[in-house]
Order: sequence, then C-alpha cells, then structure tokens
Amino acid sequence: MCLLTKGCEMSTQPNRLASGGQIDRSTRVRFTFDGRAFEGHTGDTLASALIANGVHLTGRSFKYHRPRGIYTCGSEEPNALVTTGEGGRTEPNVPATMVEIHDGLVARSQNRWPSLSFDLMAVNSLLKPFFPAGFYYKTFMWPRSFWYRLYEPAIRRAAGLGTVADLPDPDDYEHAHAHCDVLVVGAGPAGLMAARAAAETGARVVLADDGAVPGGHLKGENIEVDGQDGGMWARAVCDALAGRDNVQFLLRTSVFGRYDGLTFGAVERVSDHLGDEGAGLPRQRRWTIQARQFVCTTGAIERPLVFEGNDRPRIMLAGAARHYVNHYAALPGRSVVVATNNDDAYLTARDFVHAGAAVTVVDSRDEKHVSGNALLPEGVGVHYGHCVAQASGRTHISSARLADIAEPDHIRAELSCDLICTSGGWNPTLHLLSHCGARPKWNAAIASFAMGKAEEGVHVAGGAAGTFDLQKCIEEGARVGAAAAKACGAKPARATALPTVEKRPVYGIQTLWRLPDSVSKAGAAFVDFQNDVTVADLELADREGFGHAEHAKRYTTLGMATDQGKLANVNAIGILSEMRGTPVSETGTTTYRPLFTPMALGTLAGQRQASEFRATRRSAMHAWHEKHGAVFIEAGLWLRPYYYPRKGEDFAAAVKREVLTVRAGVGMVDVSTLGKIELKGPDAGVFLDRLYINSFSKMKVGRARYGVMLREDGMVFDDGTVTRLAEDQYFITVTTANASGVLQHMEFCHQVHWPELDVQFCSVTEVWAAMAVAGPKARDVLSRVVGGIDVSSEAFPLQSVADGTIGDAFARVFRISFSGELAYEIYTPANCGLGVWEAIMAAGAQDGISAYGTEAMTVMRTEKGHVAGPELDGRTTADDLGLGRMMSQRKDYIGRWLAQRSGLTGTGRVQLVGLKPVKGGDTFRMGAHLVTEPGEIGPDVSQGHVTTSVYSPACDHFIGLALLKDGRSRAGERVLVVSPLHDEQVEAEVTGPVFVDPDGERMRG
Amino acid sequence: MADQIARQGALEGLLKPETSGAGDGTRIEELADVTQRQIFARNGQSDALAKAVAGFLKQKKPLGPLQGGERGGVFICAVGPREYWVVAQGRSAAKAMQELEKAVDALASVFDQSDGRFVIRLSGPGADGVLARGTSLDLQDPALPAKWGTHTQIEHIPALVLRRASNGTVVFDVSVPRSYAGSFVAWLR
Repeated sequence: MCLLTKGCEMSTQPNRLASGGQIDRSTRVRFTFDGRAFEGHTGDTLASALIANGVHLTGRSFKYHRPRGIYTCGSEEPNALVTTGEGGRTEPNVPATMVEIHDGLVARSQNRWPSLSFDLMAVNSLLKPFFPAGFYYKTFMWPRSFWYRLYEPAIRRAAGLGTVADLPDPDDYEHAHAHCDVLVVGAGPAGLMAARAAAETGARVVLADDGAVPGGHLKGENIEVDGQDGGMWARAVCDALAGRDNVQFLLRTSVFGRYDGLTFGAVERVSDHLGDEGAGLPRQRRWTIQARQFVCTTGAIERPLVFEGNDRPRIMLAGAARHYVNHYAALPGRSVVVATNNDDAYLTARDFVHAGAAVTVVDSRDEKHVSGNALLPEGVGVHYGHCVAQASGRTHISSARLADIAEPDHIRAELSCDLICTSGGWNPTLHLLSHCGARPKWNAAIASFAMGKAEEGVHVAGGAAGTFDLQKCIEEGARVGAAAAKACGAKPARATALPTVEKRPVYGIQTLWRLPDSVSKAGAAFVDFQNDVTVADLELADREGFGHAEHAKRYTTLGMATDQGKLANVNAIGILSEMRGTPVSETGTTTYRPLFTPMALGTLAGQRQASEFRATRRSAMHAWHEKHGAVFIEAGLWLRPYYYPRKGEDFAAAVKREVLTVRAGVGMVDVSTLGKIELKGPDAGVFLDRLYINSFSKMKVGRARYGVMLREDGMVFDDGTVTRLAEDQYFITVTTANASGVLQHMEFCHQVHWPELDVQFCSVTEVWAAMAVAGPKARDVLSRVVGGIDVSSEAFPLQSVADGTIGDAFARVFRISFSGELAYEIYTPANCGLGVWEAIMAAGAQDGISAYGTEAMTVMRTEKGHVAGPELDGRTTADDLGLGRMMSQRKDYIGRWLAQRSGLTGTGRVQLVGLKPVKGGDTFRMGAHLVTEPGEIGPDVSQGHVTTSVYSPACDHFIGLALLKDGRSRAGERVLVVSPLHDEQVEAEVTGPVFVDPDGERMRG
Repeated sequence: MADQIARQGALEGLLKPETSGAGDGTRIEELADVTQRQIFARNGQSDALAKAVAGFLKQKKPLGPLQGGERGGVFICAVGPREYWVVAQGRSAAKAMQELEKAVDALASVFDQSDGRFVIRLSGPGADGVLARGTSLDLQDPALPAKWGTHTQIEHIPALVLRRASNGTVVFDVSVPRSYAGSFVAWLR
C-alpha cells in the first residue's frame, strides 16, 4: 500500500508521505516557484517541498537548454539551480537543495524563455551535433572584431545560468573569526564522533556543517544507531556537544576553502531561512577559522551512472532519492527503477518499497557479487548483469531501456517507470583536502580517489577517507578526533563510548564508467550536467589530443563553475582512462579549488560597503567642516576639507576666494592630519641629526626648524618641522601620507642601526588637533584669543614655539608658515580641537576669517615654491629640490653618502623650477612633459615634467612647479608643456620656483 | 578672549547607549575620564622598569609579554618589548597613577595618549563574539586570559584590546585612536 497522504490538509502536497521524516508537519509554509503558490513544512528545502508537490522540472541546462530536475539533495546539485528573492535581494544560481523554505519565499527557474516548460532556446538541443566542445573557439574566429561585439554577447545570451540583480543589495553581511584546537568539518557520524572525542579531552572544537540539521547521511537513512533512529542519535550527540563550553557548533555553515596554515573560510547562512523573521540579523556571515588540527569528515558524494538521457527530470541519485523519502517524507516517484553498480543502492530500493513504491533494480554486476539484495522484500525484481542504456521521455521519464552488460548491442527490456535512481558508486569529498595542493590517488578498493599520506595536522575519517561502513566511520571518527586533540597537547580522555549500528550490506562496487560504445553512441550521455559535457565531448577532446584530465577539463569546461567537479570529475577520469586505454591512476586528476560552494559577493565584502568600504579618519574638527559645507578629499584614510564652497561658487571660485582671504586678511586650515611624533631621551637630538640632512641637537629649546629626511639611497624621503620642546624632548611633524612610514623608518634605524642611543619615541598624531592661522591679520586674531604668549614679532619670532592657553585649553603655538604668510600653527589636545577652532573663528570674525581647504593650501605653497608630495616623488634628491644647501657637511646622516654618488650630482639632473604660461590665459596639467621642440614625445626627448599646476590669484594666471633638466640655469627659457594624452601643447617660460614674496617678508611680518 | 573651551569626546553623538544588536546582553559603553599612557624603558633600564612595574602592582614576578595587572584603578599591560600601556579611569585612579609615574620616572619615557584615543568597554557573555566579528585575534582563554592585552586591528582599525579581570563575566576594554571613531562605531552597529 502506498503511504502517500490523504486528507484535505495535505492536498497541496500530493507526494508527501503520511508519516515519517524530520519536517514539522504542524507548520504550513507558503512559497512560490515560477509564480505558482505551493505549501511545504518547516524543515523542507525548496527541493523537497517541490518534490512533495509533484514538481520535478526545475530548470534548463546551461548550453542546450535541456529540461532538468532535482538530481541530488545537497550542495552538489547541478541541475536545480534557481533564482531566489526579488529586487536587490535577487540571488541567482542557488541550489534548490540548499534553500530552506520560509513563508514568502519566492523562487524562479532560470535560463529559459518564455517559460520553463516551453523554452524556445531549447532549439540549442536540436543543434547539439553542431555545438560540440570547443565549438565557439573554432567557429567564431572571423572577423576578429565580431567576437566582442557580436559573437560573445550572443553566446552569453543563449547560454548561461541566472541573472544577477542590477540593484544594490539591501542585506547586511558580516565577517567573524574563530580559533580552535580542532576544526571538524562535517557533522555526519564520523564528524560527530570526532568532535565528541576531541571535546572530551578539553580541546577547543569548532564543528561546522552545511546542513540545517546535523547527521550527514544519517539523516536520510532508515537505520538504527544505539537502538534509536540514526537521525535522532545524531541530534542527541549534537545537543550534548552544544552544551559544552569548549565546542562551537556552526550549522548552516559551508566551509568553502582551505588556505595556508590551516586557515579556513566558511559561510554561515544566518538568516536566509528566516524570511521576514530574520530582520535585523545579517544575512550571511563569513568566518575565518584558524585551526591547529583539521579533521575532514566531509563524507562522500554519490556519482551518477552515464547513459543516454541520464539528465532527464525524475532521474536522481539513489542516495538522494532515499534521503527525500526518509528525511523529508517526500516521494519522488512511485514506479521506480534503481540502477546501480554497488550494494548501497539496495537501501534505496528497500526504502522505496517500504514507502509503497513499485521498485525494480537493475544491477550491472553478476548476482554472485551482490549482497544488498538480501534487503529486498520478496517480489522485487532484479536485473543482474544489466544496465540502463537509455531513458525515455523529455520533461519527465516514462521508461528505462535495459541492455545486457555482456551483450550491449541490443536493448533487452524496457521498464515503465516515473523515477530512475542511479548509483555509480561514491566519491570521497576531497575538496578541502586538496585545496592546498595535495593530489588525490586512485584507490581501487573503493573505485574512487582518496587522499594518500595525510598532511601534518590533517586527519580524515568516514566517507571522506573512503570508509563507507557506518560502524567503521564511527570508530574512525572517534579515533582521529582523539588523535587531533592529542596533537594539540590535550590530555587523553577516557575512551569515547562507541555506539553500535545495525549491519548493512557491504559496498561491493564494480566500476561502470559508461556503456559499451555500440549503445552509448546513440545519443547524449551526460558526464557533467551543469556544464552540459557529454561522453561525446570527452571523446572529441581525446581525439584532438586533450585526453589528460586537466586538458579535457579546459577543452570541454568539465568540472568548472560552481560544480567544481563534485559530480562529474571521477566519471570523466574513468571514461577518459577507458578511451585512452590507460589505468585510471595514470589519467590524471584535476585540481579542486576554493570555493567549494558559491558565495554571495556581499558575503565577501561583509560590512565593508559604501562609505564604510574602508575605515576613514576624521579630525576633531570634522563636524565643523561638514556643517560649513566642506567638500572633502581623501588623504590616505583621512578625510580633509578640500574647499568650502559658498552659495553660487564652483571649485575655482571657492579656492580663489579662500586664497585671497588669506593673502589679504586671515584664514585657518585644519592640519591635524600631519603625522606627529614625540621623542624623549638624552640622545633624541643626536638621533634626529642622523635622520635628517640638517642638525637639531644644537637647536635651542623653544625653536622649530624645517627638516628633510633622505632614504638610504640618497633620495628625499620626507620633510616636516622639528621642534625642541625641552633639552631631551623633541616634537616632529611629518607628511600626512608618510606618517606611518616615517615612524617605521625611525623604529628600524633605532633598533637596527643605533640601538645604543637612549631615545624613545611614539606617534602622537591622534593626541593633538592642529590648525594653521595664516594671513597678515593672523597675529591680531591670535592676540585676542591666546593667553600666556606674547605673539608680537619681537617676542615670538619666526620658528618659535611656546605653550599657552586658548580659553582654559592648553595650546602649543608654533610660528611657522607653509603659506608664505604670517602664520601660526596651534596644537591643542584633540578633545579641545573643535572648541579651540571655534574660539579662533569667533575671535577672527571681525577680520573676516575664513576656513580654507587643502587646495587653497596647495595654491599658496606653490606660489611660494614650497615642495610637497608631488615633488617628493621618491626620485628626487635634496639638491634637485633646491634644498642642497641644507645638507650638512659636518655630520653623518641617512642617505648622505649615496646622495653624492655620480648620477645624483652634477649636470643632467632635473631641478625644481617655476613655470608660467607665455600666454596668460593658457593652462597646463600636472604630469605634462617639458620639451624644447614640437614633435613626438618620448623618454628621450622629455626634459622633465610638471609636478604641480594651479591658478594663482596673486599672479592672475596659471603657475606651476616642475622638475626640469638642469632647470636652475634655464630661467627665462621657453619650453613646450605637452600632454599627449590630452592633445595639449602650451608654451611656458621657466622661472624661479617662488612666485610670491621671494624675500619672505610677509611671513616674517 | 574665550573663557571655557568645550571638550568633545571622540564618540560624542556617535555611540548611543545600547546593547549589541545580537540581543545577547552584551553591553557596550564608552569609558569616561580615561587617562592613557605609553611607557617605554630607557636604554638599559628594561629590567629595572619591569621590576618597578611589578613593584607598583605589588607582585613579585615582572609582567610577561602581553600580561597586565591592576592596582588602584590603574591597569598596566606589557604590550611590547620594553613597552607598557596604561589605562586608568576616573579620579580615584589619579593617586595610583601618580605613584606609577613616580616609580618609573628615572627608568622610562612616558607619553600621554589620553586625548588621542577613546576606550570602549564590551562586557557580557557575547562580548568576545562581538569582537570576533572584527578582529582575527584569538580572544579565548588561554590565548588571551584575563588581564592580558595586545595591539590588533578591528575591521582594519588599529586597536588595543585589553581583557580585564572579571568575576565570571567577560570584559574587554578596547582603546582606539580617536580619528577612527566614526568607522569604529559604524562597525559596532
């Protein structure tokens, strides 16, 4: 009697069994597939719910648009790839076998038009003889320009998987890290025992499994463990593990890759299964797991049998079929042919019989090699020595035609059926073992590949080790779990109690890679369902010299994309070995690469999206800048005010106003981003003498001086201000972009070159908010706001520093100038930064003080010929920049000797010059080359380049700084400023680098 | 002339009083009135400084790498070779802080980092889980036991993570450069 349900409450699920399974029958979960509404239960996957609802056609194949159905029950699913969600939450290519249904789930089939059942692109299938592997590359060769414009777009439209959304993804994703002594991947029987054995020693264990429910294959088996249902036993073990402090259990977590040093990547589906109930939770979490020992219990994946029409809907793997019956109480078929070459599939036959289906077994082996038949009730027919040669039907199968293995030329029988379950054996899931380069080896005993010698820190148990006997899996798991914990130094615990399981038939596999040639040539026998690779494609690859597994993969696309060879590879290698007449062990293997399962791009990005794509740094005055309309520019991680446009102003107008305000009155700029380093210790001065080209050990307390550092090779490294705060205390500023590099350089010099120097230093960049007040009225403003310092020119000359107050805040005031104006820099504790800034703004209001940004600062430093980042480009010496006179001849310092080598001195070097256009209205660009004759531009004719170009309000035309060959002796000469990229050429006059106040009277004012 | 200058903490307006979004009872709060010092041993004074720190903590053995100790509200941690980091909270710690600075005066250079960093305290059973979403550091005992601390990165933001002493409750103090406040809070959210 068939056990299908009766009654109105389940009428929407005609293939749901009346009892059994691990679904919650008290729930009704509503979802849609291709717009049709269905119901399932909590605990169902989309695949199981569709099967329960009698839906088997779920997709179209990649290339030929052949109708496809659910083939597996796990992440290896090649056919039932669907698109879930809507709008920005659209996610293509999701295996229906991994989607847990929830109320409101929307799923769609993909790669079909106009509908799944009537797909016009299925014409590709009729043209299959003309579309063999490599067809594109051989055919679409001429004209070459058509490839990108016509051929490739057309091919991509005709073939493919789902379509990504072109809307922003509204979901949240996050990253997390875990550390453990023992990472166990796979919570099947071996994994559970490994985790338990390791945990009992006290070792820290992470157990990860991609399923929603632990138990691995046990979930889908009708088997007792320790006298209880296997699935229940697995849950009980998990519950006990979850109660331990030293175990972290990650369900719904796919470990997608293994990387160097036992580092693993995993994706946890945090709220995918919750629907609206998951609001507020991240959708997925990417884990980085650092393990000391790795226990691989990833189980095994069943492989298909290869025969004509083996890809049709209602053909599925035998293990998956019984999983749907036992775990989901969903019956995929009622008239079933079980085709096998091993004894495991007899469990499927038995369970279908128990579920009320009519079953016939087709076994390619001789009866004397079969033990699984003992499981079958009387009356179940078995065709020994036969195989399925052909499946009939299109969107669903109607019959299986059998051939005699000994005489394959003729179809011997035709069995009516609505489901064919196939089992070509089991392949250990070796991906994580291979990701770091280890190659699997052929193991004849299990007729599959397995890992050879284990790598250090890596343990394998259960199906992943090729152990298919359940009792042995359990024993092996416990053994390797304990061994892994011991390797971490954990004290051995009392031996883990082992459960007993009921006896099952031995595996007894005899390989059947493909049917003999005479039958298989009749039509399409698929090896790789996802990539539409057939036996004929492999034959073609071999004929054309691509018979090695790695070559065949490239030739045919076998095992590529999301499949990564989970189902296809071993069959392909077996078939190629037969074609080539070589042993399987000599046919080669392909390389498994991460990711084991696909991952959403959002999961890779995690929180790093939009404005938080990377961390940003903001000064203490950032809120003021924002409030006053600043446009920001990135300087490293810092956000700096670029300019402050007022109503009606564009960039140029705003910058011009800011410059003129400073030149004529007073302005203030935020310079908090400058790197700041404090040095203490009796040797601090000597240390600085050795770092900089000029001297500081003799500088008086309370004085500041511009300094330049070289690299070891004599090139300029950085510049800034050095201030002596006390006899044994200095304060230096370095460029914003180079702040961490300079500190690193100082650490290196101290630790490696001069450890004997008694100097200590650290970054205090964050401690101080800093602002420069510049302009002829700067002193007036400061005198109103600063206490404790006489800021008159006599008492506080250029290059002085003094401590005072602004209000009740500490203020360290420096009289230094980058703009060329009378200027002061005020440093105050960062917590006071905003308050001090506002106090100065208030004090300067009567003088029309204005904030200015980095562009105005650039304009003014260019007018003054001050060098900055564009000139300090790592290729210039101090002399190139006109700073040669600062290079001390009385002391040694980093870079001194190499700066004197030939090539860095004498004629022929580029030197800093000024440029101005001959025609006042002309402009030129940074990076433009300087030449003397018009014509072709190249390295041999370029005499230098423009480093900085700005519009100078003071000059009322563009000006620039440039590095020009022997430039200092060429003042007055005319050069061509050319930018071939922009097709621009401007005549300019070479000048000195200082355009405004060459004698420095303004800043000394 | 300005009289009083308003002090603005790095997290002002950014961190709302709240528990973590995980709903696991993790408490996140900014520590107020925090003093932070970075202490480096003078040349040849490493051992003497270690002894002075141990003396301040009233313990016989010097702190080992990453180990910390607390006295009078002053938490001091050996964060690098010849380098210590000090976090003290509240006025009640001022006396102990003075005592510490006096003890190390001739042996070390002391740098005031108080204004440059803010400190966030995460406490509760899920505190390590919150941090694990940003740092690759192993936060579990014994890798990072109570009273240990280390420099690390949290979502690419430099941070000093100190695991404070606790009575069965997990407590972390995280010291972060103030310019990263916006990004750090964005990550916390």
